[in-house]
Amino acid sequence: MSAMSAGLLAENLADAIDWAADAAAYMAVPADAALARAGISRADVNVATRALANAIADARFAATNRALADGRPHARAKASGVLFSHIDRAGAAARTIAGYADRIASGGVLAGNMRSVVRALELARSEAMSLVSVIESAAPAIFPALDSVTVRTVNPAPDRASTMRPGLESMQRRSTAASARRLLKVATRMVPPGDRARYGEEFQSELADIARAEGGRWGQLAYAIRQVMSSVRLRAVLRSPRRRSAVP
Amino acid sequence: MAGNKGAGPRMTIQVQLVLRALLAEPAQEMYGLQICEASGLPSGTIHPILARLEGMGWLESHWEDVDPQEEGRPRRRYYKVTEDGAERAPIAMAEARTPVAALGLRPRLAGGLA
Repeated sequence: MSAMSAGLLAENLADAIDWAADAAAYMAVPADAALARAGISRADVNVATRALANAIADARFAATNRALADGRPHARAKASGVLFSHIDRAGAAARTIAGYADRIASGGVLAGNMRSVVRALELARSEAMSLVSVIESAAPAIFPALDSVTVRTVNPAPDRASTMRPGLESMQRRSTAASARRLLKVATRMVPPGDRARYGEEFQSELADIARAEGGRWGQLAYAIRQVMSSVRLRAVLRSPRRRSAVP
Repeated sequence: MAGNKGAGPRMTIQVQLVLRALLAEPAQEMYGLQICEASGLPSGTIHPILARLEGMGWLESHWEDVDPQEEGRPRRRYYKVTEDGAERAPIAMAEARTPVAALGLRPRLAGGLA
């Protein structure tokens, strides 16, 4: 199995999780009247939708960890287990909500959407299992840059991708959190080489804006963590052959 | 899934929120954090969406024309809807499986962070 296949599977997994998140968001706003007619409390729906949203968010994070664990068998196995457990949690929450939806007499559209949640989660689980098997067989070819990311993070070396002038870099070092900058370097390394300079500068620019607006280390860290989490997806989009043909 | 100029993107809620933020003032250029603020999405989550839309020709972007030394900050990357995007995005949003309008989410005013 090729690295491209793994990339497509990873993107399909992300799509399936997004699809489930969309459907969950739609389910979060059913009419109170419809709930009352079915004898369902808004609080119960809120608990279930929150559980689903949390499980989806956890699955998304676990999927990223799974990708970052490439090349380290123990970490890979552990991350796979965590990913599956979160997908199972999401599936259980979705089934609970689907039960509510089925009880809503006039909720044909809602019930249909929740059935799509369950289908999407089943698809997500299937894609995740396929992804794991592909990664197991093609690990060395999938994310070859990740090992060097670890080394660079621990021992920062001059980054050829950076286009910022030395003076500006030192100015930014004084104003932004070092931990956030390091995480953004990890996110940047996930981006295909041809796009690293652009995204490296863009991420650091946004980090500087956050530092200026909020100032807090935790706000910067949260931004950087989210950037790392979405970097697998960004990588897949940037590596899409159709995108390459569409952008000169 | 990624698309090309002949096919629209999958209209997730997040994609619709980003498009709605950019289409509110099609002539206005916005940088990443402004788009996050206007769309209500967390910072650090929109670049895959922006990359996909840019790859399809619905968005265009460029670096801010400033001297970072004088500004005291790195230059920003600004995004804007293209003519093609302004024409096709509203149609795609209207045809979305789960239109963002159905969720009752209101757009925010796009403000600056700095």
